[in-house]
Amino acid sequence: MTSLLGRTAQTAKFLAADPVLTAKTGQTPHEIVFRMGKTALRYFPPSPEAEAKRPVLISMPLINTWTIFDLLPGRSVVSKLTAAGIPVYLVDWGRPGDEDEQRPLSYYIDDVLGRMFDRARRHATKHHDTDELDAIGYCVGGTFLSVHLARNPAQAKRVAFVATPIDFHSSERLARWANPDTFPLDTLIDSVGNYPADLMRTSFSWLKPSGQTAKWVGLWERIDQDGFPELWAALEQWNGDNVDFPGEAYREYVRRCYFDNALMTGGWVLGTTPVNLSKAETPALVIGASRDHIAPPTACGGLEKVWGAPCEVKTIRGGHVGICVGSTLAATLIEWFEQPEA
Amino acid sequence: MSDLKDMSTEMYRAWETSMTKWWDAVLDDPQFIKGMGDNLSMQSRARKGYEDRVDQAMESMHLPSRKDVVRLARIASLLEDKVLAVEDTLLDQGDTLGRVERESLQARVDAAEALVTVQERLATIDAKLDALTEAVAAMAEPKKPASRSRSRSRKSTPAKKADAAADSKES
Repeated sequence: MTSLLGRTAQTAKFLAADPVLTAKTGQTPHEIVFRMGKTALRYFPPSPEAEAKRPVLISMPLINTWTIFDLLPGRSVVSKLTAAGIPVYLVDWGRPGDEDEQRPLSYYIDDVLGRMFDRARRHATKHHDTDELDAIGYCVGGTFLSVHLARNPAQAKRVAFVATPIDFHSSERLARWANPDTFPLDTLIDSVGNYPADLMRTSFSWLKPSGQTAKWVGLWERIDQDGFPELWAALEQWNGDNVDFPGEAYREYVRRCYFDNALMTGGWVLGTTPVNLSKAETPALVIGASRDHIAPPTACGGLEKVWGAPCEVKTIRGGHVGICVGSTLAATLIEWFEQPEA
Repeated sequence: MSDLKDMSTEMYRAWETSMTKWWDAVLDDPQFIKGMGDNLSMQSRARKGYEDRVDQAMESMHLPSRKDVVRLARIASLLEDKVLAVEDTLLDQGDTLGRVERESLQARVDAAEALVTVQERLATIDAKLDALTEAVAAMAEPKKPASRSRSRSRKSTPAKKADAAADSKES
């Protein structure tokens, strides 16, 4: 048992080495097989020892970097999937710049995701002898994926949505904040162009202010726990590394999803085509996180009410980010994709 | 020491619970949310004003402003979109060519197989014809003398006729 002072000294020594800056994330070997603008399609080959399975395409959120799915060795969703024999294609949206502020949401949902599916399919045909894909969407990446799959049902055989908000009016505090009467969406986008990453980070910190102290206390309490300080530093690095959300896409996303809750109520025309999740034909698994304050299980579970294909809902223990570094998420995904198809 | 740690942890938990309750009340208060929105609106206008002024200053010094750089980057990304559209077309054409190639290969295989079949059938017919010829020859073998005398008599008739014709011409 480390003494109170010893623990404090150990924490100070750990922090003095600037672990957040030096944390190395995204270490699983992979290659970029396609680029479109800032977006990259990262390919993680499956383990040769495991039985070959259908490849999966992962749509990550546009507001953070992709490395949360490959944070550290042993804490990586992609490495667990590849170890189970699943080839992984991961959509990394990159860092949109000021030149992307006019890009509409349909560019990301229809054009980029469409091309990513196409190139992943071509690569899989060449290297894995199959043109069929499964799909996973995390957070906003899942919201984009749900719209894309409802409009293009042939893209994936099965899909898993992880901490993906669909019923945005059930997003608790975030829904209360992002309401048309108080949130100056148009002024903000007309003034600053892209929704700034630092504002995004601040907003998420303010959603749960006690979390800011809890993380330091957590580090102090578990400083002697094997692997915890490294995980803490990697998570801190990821948390502080938001990216700008392209302005026009953000305007439409907030207006349709948060203001109108259009995925539940309908009436949203994206590009030239209406968004209608009831037209989906892909069997879906919804995974909510029990302590998620960004996409609470109620907001994720909304999909079950509107999705046109069979939909299974599961809740696993953890927070919005915590589930990505635990072992349950990868195990749940692998189990779902290994199930025989109906 | 462990007691001290437990005590401090307990104190922290109690503080966290009361603070969370307080924060919850503040952060969900409509007045606070409105104030936050107003503040955000004001800050974004201020930021735009600042950026506009920086742009103006750069322009007055005949230096490229942020707007100029963004314009160039946007043109580059639009060009990239066009390149990608061409790449899509090429890939589609590649798919079509691949399909045509596969189909033509299949057609060549079918043609080669058909040729082999025809050759086999011809060989069979050839063999049958040979067999028939042999059979006919075999059948014809014992009746040779008779057929010879018949042919001779057949041959003699025209010869005789020719001789007769020659005789009549001479006369």
